[in-house]
This record gives sequence, C-alpha cells and structure tokens, in this order.
Amino acid sequence: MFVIELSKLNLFKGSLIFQTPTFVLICMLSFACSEPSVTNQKLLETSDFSLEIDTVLLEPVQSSQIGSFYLKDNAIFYVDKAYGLVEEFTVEGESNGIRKRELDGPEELQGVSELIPTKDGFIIRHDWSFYQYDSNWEFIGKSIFQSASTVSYQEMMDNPKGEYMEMYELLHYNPKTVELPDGFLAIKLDVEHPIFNAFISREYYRESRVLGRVNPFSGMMVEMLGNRPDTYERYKFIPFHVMLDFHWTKDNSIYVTYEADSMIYVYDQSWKLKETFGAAGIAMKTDYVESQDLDVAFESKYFYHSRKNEGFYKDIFVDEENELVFRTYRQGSDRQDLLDETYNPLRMQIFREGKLLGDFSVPGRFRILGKVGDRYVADGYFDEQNEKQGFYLLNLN
Amino acid sequence: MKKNLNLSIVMLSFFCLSLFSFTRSYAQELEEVADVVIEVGKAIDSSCDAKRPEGGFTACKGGECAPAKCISFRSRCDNGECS
Repeated sequence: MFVIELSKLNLFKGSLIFQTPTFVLICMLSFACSEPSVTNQKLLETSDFSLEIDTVLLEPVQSSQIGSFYLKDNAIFYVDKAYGLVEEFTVEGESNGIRKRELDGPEELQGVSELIPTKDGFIIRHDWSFYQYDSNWEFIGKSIFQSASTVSYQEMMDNPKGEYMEMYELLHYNPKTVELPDGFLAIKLDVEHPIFNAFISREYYRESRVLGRVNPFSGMMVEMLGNRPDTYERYKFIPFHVMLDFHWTKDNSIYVTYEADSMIYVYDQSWKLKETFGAAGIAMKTDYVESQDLDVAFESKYFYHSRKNEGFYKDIFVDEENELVFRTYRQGSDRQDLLDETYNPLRMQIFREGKLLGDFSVPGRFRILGKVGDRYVADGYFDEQNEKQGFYLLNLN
Repeated sequence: MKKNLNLSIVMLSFFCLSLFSFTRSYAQELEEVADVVIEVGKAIDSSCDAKRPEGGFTACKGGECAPAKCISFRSRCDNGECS
C-alpha cells in the first residue's frame, strides 16, 4: 500500500503548493479505501423472528480472493490460499496484521489448506502436514498425517475392508478439521482404493469410515468413526455426493449431515445414533446421475455437473446455547454456464428441537463458523472481478 | 491364360484381405492389452509400498492437485496442473 502511494506522489513532482494538498487528498482517499464497509440485507421475517445479514467488506494487505475465513474467539482470520497468508481482523473488519505467511519461520510453512483454531493456539494444515503454533503464533512443531499398518500390503490390496486404517486419506473437497475437547483432531476421511471406492464398490458405501481422530503432535490417526446411513442404498454409485459435514459439540454429540440425505443424524462419540431429524429442501434437483465405472473419476465434466447442477445438503452448525441447528443445501440448477459450485443456489434451514423454523436463501459461499456475541460469523464474500472480499454477520432477532 | 490371371488376382485379393483383417484384429488386441496395462498402471503405483510412510503422491481430484494415498487409483499430478 505504501509503495503505491510513493509512486503516486512521484507523478506530481512540482511546486510545494501543488504537492501539499495532493498529499493530503491521497492520504484521505487511502484511509477512506482501507475502512471496512458494511452492507445489510434482510433474509427472513416471520411472526416469531427475523434474520438479517451484514456483509463486512475487508481490505486485506494482500488478497487474491481465493481463500476462506476462520474464527477463533472474537478474532476473524482471512486465509489467502494463493498467497499463503493468514491475516487477523476484528469483527468490525479492522486488520490486526498478517500473523503467518508461507515459507515463514524455521518451520518453512509450505502453504495453507486450512486453519484450525485450538485451545492453546492454532494449527495450520497444509495438505497432510499439521503445523502447530501457540496463541502468539510461535512455532511449536510439525507432524504429518499417517496411519499404522494393520494388515499386510497384499491383504489391503486384494481384500480391502472398511476397518483397514492404512487405506484412508484426508478428504480434499470441502474439508473441515476441528479440535475435540480432548485435544485430538476430528477430520474428514476418504478412500480411493482401486477396488474399494465410491465409483465401483458397494462395500465402500456400507463399510467405509467417514471421520478420523488424529493426534496433532504425531499426525497419527488413532481411531476412525462412522459410516454412511442406509439412504445411500437407494443409489448404486453417486461418488460426488458421498461427502458430509459435521459439528462436534462440547458434550461430545456429533451432528452429521450427508449430501444425499435430508435427515440430520446425531451420534455419541462411539457413533451410537441418538437422534435424527430434518426436512427436505425446497425444489432440489436430486435425480442424481449415477456412475457405472472408474472412468468417471477421470472426467471432470461429471464432477462439475454433480457439484454445479445437482442438489445436495452441505454444511451444518449447532448453536448449543440456543439449541439451534443451521444446515445449508444446494438446490441444483439447469444453467450450464455456472463457473463453480458456489453459483449453485444455496439455502439455509434452521431447526429447533428437531422442528424446522425457517428455510431461506443465502449467498453462495455462506458457511457459519461460530458466534461472536449474539451474531453468527460466516464465510465468506469473494468477488474476484471487483477484488472484494468479506465475511458475513448473521443477526437472529 | 486370361482365366489363370483372373484367378491369381482373386487369390491375391483374398490374401490381402485376410492379412488386413489379421493385422486389424491383432492391432485391436494390442490396443486392449495396452488399455489394461494403463488401467493397472493407474491403479497401483509400482513404488507404492516404499512411499507408504510418507503418505503418497499428488493426484488430480476434482480438477485440483491434491495428495493421495499411494494405493489411489488416480493418475499422478506431478506438474501441478489438472485438466
């Protein structure tokens, strides 16, 4: 920012009379530009409550608009994936500066796939590496995701079973990793074994585990949890809708929403089902195109159709204090010119005690991160063309 | 003489056709074998076992390069780009 201002000043080399007001004007404009701005929109109004959304636009030090927002306590972090930066903001949108950048420090951070707030600080996940930092962003250590071999290599290749830990990898699409009350990490899993996978194997749908419990200091996966509900028996192979999202509460209840299932499942930490509730989304296109062979995995056309044009359930957030459950879903679209999934219309449902309170349209990347005061903070507004970015504040009154 | 020449032409044509058909079926067979080899190559990385402690390699997933387990059926993404 400062370099740009100096170059602007060089254009007006001349008399002091001309330079002084120009300098003042540029300074005023610069300050005006760096001020966060807020826009407000009413989402829903019923006799019981109203919902409003504020968009807090930010001016990061450097931004490619390819990134995500994260929340820790009252601080909001913008992670720019292209530049490999983590910048901290207040909930009012004021920058507290860059906290970490790629290739920074002795640990040589290689990039940022995900920021994981923890009780004692932060973990940055880059691909399968976990970089640990204290609350002052001092480097503590690094580990790499791994799982112990439980059977011989030949057995794993020839006779794969859902319980073979060594087959699993981290889910790349729509990742979410959270710190559990015991300090371990819960992380989404995937498996792409040649004969045990979402494209050609029914066993995958019945047996494969969905979450891993990982020791962040060793990177070792110590336990695998869950599998998909019977709803997946309705389809043969829907490889691009096997994803799920979860919310792990303080009292160790796990709320899970699966892409192809309108129900929300609540499990205890040993994956014993405690409760189900839910409601189908409005006008969802769920006539999924099913795959027949592994070739589909190598065709991006099929993948993009599933994500941009088909309807599916997406993210979940639980407000434990107010006993509210927020779940988003994409409706699907007939439009063939959508750039990516974020243009597939997104709606949000709110449930209280299993009953649907409301179902309303939200912006394409809306994902609740947590709560600051009475407001919910959500990721995120990104406009690459106009180089704008910001986070959302959802007000429920 | 003319009759013999006609017979020779017919026989030569028949021979050429048989040869062409044999070559074609052999080529098809080779192609099928090659496809199988490519599929197996996709499926199992030859140095997979050695890579197990490190986790794996980078593969194309949904149009992006991402780490994959060494047993993954996916193709490599070594140049950092996916189609």
